[in-house]
Amino acid sequence: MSDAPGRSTNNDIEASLEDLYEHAPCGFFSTTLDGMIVRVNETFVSMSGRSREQLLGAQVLSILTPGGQLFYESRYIPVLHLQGEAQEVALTLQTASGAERPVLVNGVVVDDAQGRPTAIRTAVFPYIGRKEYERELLEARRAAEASESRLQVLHGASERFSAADSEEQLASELAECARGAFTAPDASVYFADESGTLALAAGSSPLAAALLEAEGPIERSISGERVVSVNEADADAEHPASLLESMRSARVETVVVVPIAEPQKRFGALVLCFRRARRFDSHDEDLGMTLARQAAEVLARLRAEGVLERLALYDDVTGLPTRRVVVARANEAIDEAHSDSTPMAIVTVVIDGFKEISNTFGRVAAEDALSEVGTRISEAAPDSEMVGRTNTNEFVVVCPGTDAAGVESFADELLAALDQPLSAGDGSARVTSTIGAALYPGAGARPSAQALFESAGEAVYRARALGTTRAAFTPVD
Amino acid sequence: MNVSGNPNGRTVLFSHGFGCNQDVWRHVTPAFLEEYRVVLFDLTGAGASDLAAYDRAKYDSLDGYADDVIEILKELDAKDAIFVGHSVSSMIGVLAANRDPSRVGTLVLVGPSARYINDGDYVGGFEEADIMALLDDLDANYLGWSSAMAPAIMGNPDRPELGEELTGNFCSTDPEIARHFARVTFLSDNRRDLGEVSVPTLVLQCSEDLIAPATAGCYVHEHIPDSTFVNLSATGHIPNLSNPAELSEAILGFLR
Repeated sequence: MSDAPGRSTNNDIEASLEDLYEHAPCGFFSTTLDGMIVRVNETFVSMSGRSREQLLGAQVLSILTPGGQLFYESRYIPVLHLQGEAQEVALTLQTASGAERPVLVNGVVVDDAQGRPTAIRTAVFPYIGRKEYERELLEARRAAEASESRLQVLHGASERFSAADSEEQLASELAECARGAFTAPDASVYFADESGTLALAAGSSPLAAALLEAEGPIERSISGERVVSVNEADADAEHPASLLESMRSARVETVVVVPIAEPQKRFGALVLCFRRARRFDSHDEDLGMTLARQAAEVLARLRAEGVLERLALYDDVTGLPTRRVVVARANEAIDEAHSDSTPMAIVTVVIDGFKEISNTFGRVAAEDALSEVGTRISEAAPDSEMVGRTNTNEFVVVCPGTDAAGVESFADELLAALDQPLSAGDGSARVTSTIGAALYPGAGARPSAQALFESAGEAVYRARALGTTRAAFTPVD
Repeated sequence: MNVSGNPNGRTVLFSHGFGCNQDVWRHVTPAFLEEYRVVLFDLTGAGASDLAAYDRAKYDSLDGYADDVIEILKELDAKDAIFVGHSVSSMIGVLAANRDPSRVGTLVLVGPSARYINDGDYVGGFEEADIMALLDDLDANYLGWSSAMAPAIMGNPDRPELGEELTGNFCSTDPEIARHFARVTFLSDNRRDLGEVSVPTLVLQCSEDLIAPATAGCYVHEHIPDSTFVNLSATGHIPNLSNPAELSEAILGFLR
C-alpha cells in the first residue's frame, strides 16, 4: 500500500488526529447554532460537490435541496435544539452543479465550557442504494395498505348500506363512508325523486344551490355517468361562474361529484368538498364509482320495497287505502270516541253492477267506473282520508263524531251521489249500492274494529235480504 | 394541554408549527408567566395529542385545527385571548380569529406564510416540485418520526437535564400523520383569509428565513389590515429556539 501524497507514513497515520478527521470514512461538518458552516473535513468536501472555500462561511441550507431545506429547518434543527442530538436523519445535498446527493446524518450539539450550546457537529454518510431500496419497500407497503383500505371501505360500506332501512339512512351511510375514504371535510348525498328533482338527502354542503344549477357539476356528472372534478384555481369557462363564486366564498378549492346510478336509472349524486386543491386519480374514481354503485343497488331495492309496501297499503285501481289501513284508522277513531265519549260509525257500501259494465264495456271501463265510485264516496265522506276499498266491490267509511242521525244523512247523500250514472266507455252505466252501518255511541265497553266491521257487513246483508238499499245496526255491548 | 402562569391574567395560547410539538416554546413562555395565563397544547396528531382523534377528513385543511383552537378557548372560558402561532400555526390563528374574534382577540404570527408555493408574482419561496421533494425526504426519514429518536437520548450522561424532560415520545409522531400534515401545511393557500382579519396583529419576520422568506412575511403584513411588522435579528425559521429572548421581547413589546 503506497502512501497518499502529503500524508504521514504508515506507522504514524493512525496517530494523526488531523488525518483521522480529514479522511474519516464519513463526512464531517460543524456549524454555528444558526447554521453557518465553520469547519469541514476532506471527505465531506468531496461528498458535497463543492470546494472547501465555497463551504466555509456558507449556510447549511444553501447546500441542501429545497425539500431538504424544509425538512432541515422544520425537523432536524428543532430536534437538535431540544434534544441535543439527532440520529439517522435523511437529507439531500445539492452540489454546485445542481446534482442531488442523498445523505444520512447524525448530529450533536456541542456545549462551551459554561455548558451553553455553542456549535453543531454533523457526521454525514452517503445514503443512495439504501434510500432507493427503503423507498421501494415503503411504496410497496403503502400500495398494499391502500389496496387493503379500499377493500375495507368497500366491505364496510356494503354492510352498512344493506343494513339501511330508509333512504335517509342509506344517504347518511354513503356520505359518512365517502368522507372517511377520501378524507373530505364535507360529503353530501343528493337523491332524485320520481320526477327527477334532486334534493339533499344527507350530509352538509357549503355550496348547495350552485351545485344544483343547470350545467352544474351534479347535472354533468349524472348525465355523463362519470366523476366530475372542479378545481377552483384552474377552472375554465365550462363551469358556471356562480359555482366558482360560491366555491371561493365558502373556501372550497375542489368539488368532486360522483354519480349514483344503475344502468338506465339515475338516482342522484355524491358530492365531496375539499378545502385544498385535490386531484382524483383513477383509483379514487374507481372507489367513488364503486361506492356509489353499491348505494344505488340498495336504493333500488329500498324503492322497490317501497312500491310493494304501497301496493299493500293502497289499492291500485282507486288509490284508496286497503283494509289494513282502514282497520288501523277505525281503531284510532274508536279510541278517540271511547276516551272522549263521542259517537262514531263505520259505514260499509257494497256496489253491484261492475260485472255488467265489464261485460259490456270491457275491464278498463269497469275499473274506471270503480275509481269513479271511490271518488264519489270520498267526496261525500265526512273525512276523505277515512275511506277505503276493503273488497272487490266493497268500500268502508270511518265516520268519527257521527251519531245515528249523522249516519242517516250521510247515507242519503251517498246514495244520491252513487245513483247518478257513471261514464263507461263511450256511454254511461248505473250501479246499485247497499249501505250498512255500525254505530258506537262512545259509551260502554270499547268495541273492536273487527266487531264494528262485521256488524256493518251484517247490516248490508240484512238490507239486501229486505230488498232495501240501507240498514243501520247498532252493536249490543 | 398545559395551563400555567397568572390565572387572572389575559390568556395567551402558544401554537407550534410543523415538525415538533409544544416543547418548541419552552424558552419563550417563562417571560409570560407572571402577567399572563399561558396555555400550551399540541396540535392534534403531534406530540402527546390523542392520535386516535386524528380524523384525516377534519384535518385535511387548516380549518380543522382552527376549530380546535376555538374549542380550547371555549373550554378555558377564555375571551379576547392572544394567539401566538409559529409557522403553519400562524394561518391556523388567522382562521380561528376570523371565525371568532371575540375569542381570539390578538394575533402574533411568527414566521408566517400564507402560501409556500410561488404563484405568478407571489413569492412563497418554493415550487410545487420542492414540496414533493420534501415529502420524499419525509419518507426517507420514516423511522425518524416515530420511535428511533427518543431512545437515543435516554440516559445521555453529558446532558442529564434532557433525560428528565423526555417523556419517551419526544417530538415523535406517526410518520403517516406527519406526511399528511406536511401536505396540508405546505400545499395550503390561505392568502384570501388575510383580508378578513379584524383583530390587532403582529407579524414577526426572521432574518434569512428560507421557509418563510421576507416576501411571504411582507405579503401577510400587507394583507392583514392595520397589522404591525417587526423584523427579528434571529436567523432561520425557528426564533423560538434560536433566539427566544428576542422573540419574547418582541411579543411583550407589542402587547404592552
